[in-house]
Amino acid sequence: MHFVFDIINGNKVDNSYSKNWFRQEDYWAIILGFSFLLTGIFFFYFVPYSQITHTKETLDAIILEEKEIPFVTVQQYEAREKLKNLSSSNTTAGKLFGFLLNTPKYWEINPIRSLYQTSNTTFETIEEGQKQLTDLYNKAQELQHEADLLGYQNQALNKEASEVSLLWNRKRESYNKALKKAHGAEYNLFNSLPLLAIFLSLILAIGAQFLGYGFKKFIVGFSAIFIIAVLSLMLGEQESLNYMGFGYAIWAIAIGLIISNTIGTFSWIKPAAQTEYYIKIGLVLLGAEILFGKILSIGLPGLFVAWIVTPVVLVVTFWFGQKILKITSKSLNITISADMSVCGVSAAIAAAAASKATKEELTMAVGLSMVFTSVMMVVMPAFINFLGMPEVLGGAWIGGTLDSTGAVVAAGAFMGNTALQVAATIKMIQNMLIGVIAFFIAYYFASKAEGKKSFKMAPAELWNRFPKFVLGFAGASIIFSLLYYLEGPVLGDAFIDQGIVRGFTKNLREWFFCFAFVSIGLSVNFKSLRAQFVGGKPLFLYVAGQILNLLLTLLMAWVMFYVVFPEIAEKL
Amino acid sequence: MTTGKFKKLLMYFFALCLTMPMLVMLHRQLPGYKQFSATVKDKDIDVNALFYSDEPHTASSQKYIRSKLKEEHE
Repeated sequence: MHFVFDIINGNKVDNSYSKNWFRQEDYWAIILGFSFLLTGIFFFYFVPYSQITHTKETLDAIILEEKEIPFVTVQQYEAREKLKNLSSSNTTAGKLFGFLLNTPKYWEINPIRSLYQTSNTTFETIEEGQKQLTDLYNKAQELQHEADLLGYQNQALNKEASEVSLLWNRKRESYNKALKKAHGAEYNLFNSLPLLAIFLSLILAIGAQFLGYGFKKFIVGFSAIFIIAVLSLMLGEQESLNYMGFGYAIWAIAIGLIISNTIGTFSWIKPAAQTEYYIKIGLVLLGAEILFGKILSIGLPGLFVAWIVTPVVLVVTFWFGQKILKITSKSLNITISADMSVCGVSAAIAAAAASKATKEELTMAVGLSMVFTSVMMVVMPAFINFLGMPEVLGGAWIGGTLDSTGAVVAAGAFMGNTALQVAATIKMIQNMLIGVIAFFIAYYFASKAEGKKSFKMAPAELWNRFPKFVLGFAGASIIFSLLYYLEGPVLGDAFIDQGIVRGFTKNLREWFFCFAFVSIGLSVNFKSLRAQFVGGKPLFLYVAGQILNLLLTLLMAWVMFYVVFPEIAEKL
Repeated sequence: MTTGKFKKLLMYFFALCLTMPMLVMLHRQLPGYKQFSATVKDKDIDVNALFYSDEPHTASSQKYIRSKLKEEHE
């Protein structure tokens, strides 16, 4: 503030203060992160607002109007489907951002498939499907009209109309699914990737200039970071590696490590290998994905499984690491504890940034999480099926214990449909905890002076030590949670979850995290990484914490879904 | 770039190329792998999704659960 007053009063500006202000990644993470978020709000919320709210009102009116009819009509099915798929990412701007931020796709043998593919659905197939649907639609309409003329008193006619409508709906669902798969498979990243590289390098170079990395030097180095990031994303999408749970994070680190430990990171790349810069922007964007309105999605049992067990496991594991294993680095301890108890790699990134952990410590946590998740996501559902555990209990157990969301969904799906729904929802609720945990970790590490147990810190000192990007992270979460809450579940999903988040911020965040992991790999050497693992303490910490997590989550899930709220388990 | 460094790079590259197929093979030996991979393929799941927003199934799951709990109220 002094800096602003000095400018207003025409005084000589305290140069060191102003320099410091603009030379901190935290502030640039907030400035750039919020610039992206405001762009998202403008294109995904304000611009399509009237169009989407009007569509919703029209669809609601159709559903309400047809409620008097004793069976579900084709119009009702259509309206329900449209309401379910209402999203601001289907607008022109949304599609444009979707095209620009596209990441490499799934491939099996030919890596080009990851970047380029045309639709394999023939025009005749589409036409044939459409004709069948139109015939069924007309038949359903005719029957409904006849039933209407008889005042819906003819039960046999009502039944027939209902069956034809249902058949039309099923056929339409599978037709749309096939069409989406065929059209979704059409992409050409050779067009979008150069545009994205230029767009991001120019925006990031502005901050880089103030941070002292140099505008031109950053752009030159960023080209290499971007290429390695694309390669990592491609490798993470290869079928066999993907099924193993080895995503882009591990590849980005591995490629970077191989380069830096063999030929060495070229000096022209170094100005753009700025791990903290990318991580902090990515985390501010991640804040927008933490929507507190979602935490009661599965009622109180879900909240207990995800929001009570997780912090308990986190604190106990951290304590175990400090007191029993005597891990010297608190930041390594908290990064592994958060990674294991909350949601894997994303929690590790947030905890590492909040506790100012080293790159080696984050690499260690990410590696541990990926290896254990890779095994657990296959073995755990097989074990649960072998035990014959109910799907709700098994799903809740998986959702609360497996690290990454993708692994949770895959393991849940392995068990069955109910397990998939429960596991994915529990994990989503647990994901929301990441913001609160990052805030407390940042506060804890800022308020504790190294080596002193009870150090009373002055507010100014605390403010100086507090990682400011966490405020951007929390601020984004509060703003987006409020928007989500104010719009209610349907419009909230349309504008925020399916709109800004899934259509814009999550893709952007994925790119930033990937750049961060590439930068980590390029600046870490094997010796320092090996030093982190001495004595195997990080492994012991992860295993001990995971055992506690497995036991406590299972106990809490059983108590909540089968003792306290059995009616919820019955309904699911 | 010196020859020594280049050799080292090739060595690491080949080591990675040998290690990964071995890890993939080991992973495929895990109990339940066949069913797991079939489910992942069939349901089109992104196993590597880091956050709920990276995986499309989380949105439908939330809606499914919401509708089930709503039924309970009705």
